[in-house]
Amino acid sequence: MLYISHRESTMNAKLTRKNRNTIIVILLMCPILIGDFLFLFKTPKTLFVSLIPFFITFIIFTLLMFILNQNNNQKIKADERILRIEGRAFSYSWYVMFYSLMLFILNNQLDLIYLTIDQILLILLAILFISFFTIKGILNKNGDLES
Amino acid sequence: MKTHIKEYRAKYDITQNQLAEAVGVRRETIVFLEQGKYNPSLRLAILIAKKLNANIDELFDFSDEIDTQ
Repeated sequence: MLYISHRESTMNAKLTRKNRNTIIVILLMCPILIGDFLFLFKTPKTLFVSLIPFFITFIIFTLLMFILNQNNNQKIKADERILRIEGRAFSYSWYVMFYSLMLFILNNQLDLIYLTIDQILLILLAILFISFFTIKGILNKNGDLES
Repeated sequence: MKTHIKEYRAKYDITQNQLAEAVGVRRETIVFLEQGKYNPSLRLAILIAKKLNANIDELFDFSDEIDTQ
């Protein structure tokens, strides 16, 4: 049980380090985010083009967090049960997205609602993320994929 | 599936959080394991058994599932 007590004693320090890293990254990202918003409001671009800086910012944020937390040894968040559930949820969310794409194609063929390609792409991305988190939540509630 | 993890935790006075930390999983996974809702991998089962100083068959009881097959 020595291992447990050692882990416990170092846990608080690790959490504090992670919080500090998050604050540093957010502070670093602030000027970039301001730039993103200025680009969004000041340039007469299409919605999709205006959102590209946000995607790039998100990638930079993820990378910075990954680099700063690399040595934190906090791999508990991705335990085997969560990995299984996330894998299944990701597959299902792709199915949902492809079905939605079919509906958009059908909509386009039948000329029901006029949607630009930017809007369709954004809606598809939203569907992908929302369905992923919804399915993950449902599967997580059951405890296991088999149950 | 029935598990006796809770009894062994009580025996060694270990919390769910401590056990989860020691075997490298989330606390929810331990909760689902104790409720018999999650079928763990062999690796996780061995790790838990080691931490609780027990054998796997003492911790996990699959007799009801084996009987129905």
